[in-house]
Amino acid sequence: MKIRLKDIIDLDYLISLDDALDSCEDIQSRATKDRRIYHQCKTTFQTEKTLLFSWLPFRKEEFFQDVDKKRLPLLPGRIFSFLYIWVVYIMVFFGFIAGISLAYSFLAYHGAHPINVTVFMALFVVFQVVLILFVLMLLVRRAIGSKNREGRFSGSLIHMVLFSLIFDVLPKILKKTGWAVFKNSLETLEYTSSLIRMKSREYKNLLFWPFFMLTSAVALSFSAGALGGTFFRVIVSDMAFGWQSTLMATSSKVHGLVSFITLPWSWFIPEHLAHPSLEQIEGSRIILKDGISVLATQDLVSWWPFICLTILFYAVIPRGFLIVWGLLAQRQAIRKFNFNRPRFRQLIVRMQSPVLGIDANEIPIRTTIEKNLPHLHEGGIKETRILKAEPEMCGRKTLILASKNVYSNTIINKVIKGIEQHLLLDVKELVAVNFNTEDDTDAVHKISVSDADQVILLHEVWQPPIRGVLHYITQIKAAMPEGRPLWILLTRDVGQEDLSVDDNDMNYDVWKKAIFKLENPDIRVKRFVE
Amino acid sequence: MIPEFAVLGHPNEGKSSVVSTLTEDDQIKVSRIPGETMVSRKYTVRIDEKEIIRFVDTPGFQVPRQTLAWFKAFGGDPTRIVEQFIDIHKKDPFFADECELLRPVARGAGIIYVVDGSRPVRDDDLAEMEILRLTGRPRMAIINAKTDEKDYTQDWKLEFRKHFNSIRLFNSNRANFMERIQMLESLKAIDQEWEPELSQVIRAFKQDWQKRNRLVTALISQTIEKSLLFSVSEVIQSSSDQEEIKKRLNEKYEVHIKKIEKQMFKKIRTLFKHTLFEYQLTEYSILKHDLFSRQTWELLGLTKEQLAAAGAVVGGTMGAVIDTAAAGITFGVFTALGGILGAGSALLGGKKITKKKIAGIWLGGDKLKLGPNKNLQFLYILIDRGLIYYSNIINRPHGRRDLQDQPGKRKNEKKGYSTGFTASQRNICTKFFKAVTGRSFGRSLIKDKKAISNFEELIESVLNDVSGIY
Repeated sequence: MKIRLKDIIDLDYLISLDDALDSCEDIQSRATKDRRIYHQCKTTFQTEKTLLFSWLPFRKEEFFQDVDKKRLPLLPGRIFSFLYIWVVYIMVFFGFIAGISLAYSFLAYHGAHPINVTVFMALFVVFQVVLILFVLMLLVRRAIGSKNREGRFSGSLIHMVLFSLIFDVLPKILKKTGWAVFKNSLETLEYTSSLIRMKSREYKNLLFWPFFMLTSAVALSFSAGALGGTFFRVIVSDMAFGWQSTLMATSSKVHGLVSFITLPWSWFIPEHLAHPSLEQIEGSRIILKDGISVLATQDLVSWWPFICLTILFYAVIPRGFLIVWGLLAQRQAIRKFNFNRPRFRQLIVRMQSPVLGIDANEIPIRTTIEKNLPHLHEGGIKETRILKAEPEMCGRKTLILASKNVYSNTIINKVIKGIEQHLLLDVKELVAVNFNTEDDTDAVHKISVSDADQVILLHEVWQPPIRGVLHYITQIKAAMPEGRPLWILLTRDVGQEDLSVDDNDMNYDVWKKAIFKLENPDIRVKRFVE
Repeated sequence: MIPEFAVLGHPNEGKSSVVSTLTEDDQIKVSRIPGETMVSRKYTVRIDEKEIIRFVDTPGFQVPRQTLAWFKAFGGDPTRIVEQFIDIHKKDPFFADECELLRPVARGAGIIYVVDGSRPVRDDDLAEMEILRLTGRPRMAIINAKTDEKDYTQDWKLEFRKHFNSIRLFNSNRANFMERIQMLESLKAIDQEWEPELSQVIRAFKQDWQKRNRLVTALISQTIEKSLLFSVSEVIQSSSDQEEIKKRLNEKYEVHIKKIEKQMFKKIRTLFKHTLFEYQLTEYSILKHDLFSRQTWELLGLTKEQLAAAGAVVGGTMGAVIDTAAAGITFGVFTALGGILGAGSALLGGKKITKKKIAGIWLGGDKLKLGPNKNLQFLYILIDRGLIYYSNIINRPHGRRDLQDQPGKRKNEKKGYSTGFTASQRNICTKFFKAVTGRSFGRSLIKDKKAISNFEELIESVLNDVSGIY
């Protein structure tokens, strides 16, 4: 699988988009989609890295589906490539033009003085060789620096300036110009710029080589331009090359030096083309006091193939090699990029783990029958007002209904004592009930024939007023003689020391509301107070 | 067909809390007011979109005695008793709740009967237990300790032994992941038929938990790395009050670090599906130490020294061009001169440029920089805060609503997890710290990849310990 730098940038961007998801639903939905992608590509990936890059095209497709069709945002990777390629084109163009123009103007020959081969070589070859050696030295130091922290140097200047110009200043300018291509991609443009700036440490190694190749490409284009310019001059004009020196340099020494320089190509190029012969070198030596008229034309022009080949072999080809090196190093850097970083690993974990989801579905079965049932939790202002009022008991003779299973003799005596002391009632009779009219036929009979002024039904407040209990209460009330009230007296859990119910007990409120819903003014609820 | 469990019980016993905890859904309405659940709700657990188990939260019993009376009187096929009951009473509003809550049972669901262990057993409860026994379905009873006031657990257990295949104590206010797993383990015991599916569910829940721990590990590591590397800087004008700028930068730094931490907390919270509960960690100050590393001067990201060197190169090159134009006569002189001039003009010219903004774009100038924090203790603070937050989030049951945590009265906040680290664990942290904060150039951010992975392994193992998963 071929991974490109722009893919890594896109991957980073899309992961950051998913990372920014906020709600549980969005995160769950993302996890499900990632898992689906995993299932689609699980047969093809071998490593976690390839898994990430198998995910990328699916996620990209989804990204473009999600965005507004009218807008065509560019992903940061594409923006990076776009900016980079255009900068390469422009720089290469200017490099080429600079090379051509410099060589063309340098080689201006008006018949007075031949072109000084030494100066030409110094500028177009030696200077380039020095720069290439300098670059090689930096690369070696960089390689050593990666192993030895102390050996690191503080930064490549050209690299930093280009970095800053391309990914900081240029995007800001593009943003300000509102150029159509970027108009709809401001967000991603911004991201590209911030990615380079914010994550420059993380991406430094990845981004070093594109800039290295850029500078090499500029130098290559300059040298290629110079070569082209020289060649052009040679073809279209009359050229004369010579050499001069104040030192007692002999032609044989120059010939020896020239032969040494031509080693890279002299073995396969005919000798008369590879370099000038000793005689030609001797014949092209300029001695100003003698003038050039004594020099033979064939000696003066014999230098040009040597000059062109020198530029080619010492400036153009080494730069080409550096670019190839850069390309290989870039590939290596991509290969070595740490995809095990937490940000990437989160995605891998998400993809490789099953998605556990829990759906909640309401089953609206009882909508039709519910209308007929009393709702305990609805109530207006009127109801609240009524419920807040504490009803007063009237009359004295009282019949008490209580469950034997709940209220033991000791407890019931305690309750009766409380009723007599605090409510000033006269408990005439105590009837045990089971809260089931079928079992309580005796009790119902006793109620119906009783002359008590009121009936009190004891109940624990914490037991919710379920429909069964409310139904039982209405049946008891129906059995009572007309006009006599039925009180539901609420106590706390009988296991408690104090049976009194607080006025603000939530369960008491629930009971009040439930009894109110029965719409029978003779059924009332009261809390027990000791 | 997938295993289905209906959570049944008297109103206000905490059925919804149990379901909420089991399904990690804190959106389920849980209230102290009885009868809040008006309709049944199905909670289907899916693994990779495949349904594996279902819980049904039902309304409470409303007419248990009347229902029991019908059940007792039923003379038909006992295996179809529930279907028959629903069939006969489906249009009767009096039995509406009973029909609704028994519907999943009629479909073949297992029964999870929930009671409040802090209240005594009453006749209605006995009626409900008897109804459930008569359904003939596999059933488990859960004694939910809603309050600590009274404990009737023994009474409940006594009754349950007569009616249920399995009994479990459960505190929906304290239930954590392991208790959830144990409850599912107990469900396996009520019917052998469901054992494979339930084992799968348990495995999936555990895997999911491990996945979350791995994600939290990545989050903590990422957040710590971000925080340790974070710095702020501001341009200093000649008229600027440096003390004021320092104060502003301090605030900016602290706000940003807290923002990074808050993002992590939010992600952890979301990961553990807490939408309502927010755990507030006690505020802390990270600025006990002076974080101002240096005052720098920059142009286009280049420092003074770099710019001078750049100027020399450019100047030298320009000089070489002049020399060249002069056909070699001056070669060398202008190159050298250009180098010197270039360096000087880069500094002087740079100074001028930095005073201006070109098209609103800042190019450089004097800068005051705060951070990154180079104090190792900062790492331990960040680790502890991440772990404390995690611990509180995972131990917060989804069914718990009313009780909110009060910051301040916490045991584990004062003594963080890192204080219990062994020497080798501390060593791992130190290596991680060095790997993250160490200066690097040219290569990827962190050289010692093992330092990071070792640190993440350490965090993950602590997370696993805290959550009790192994």
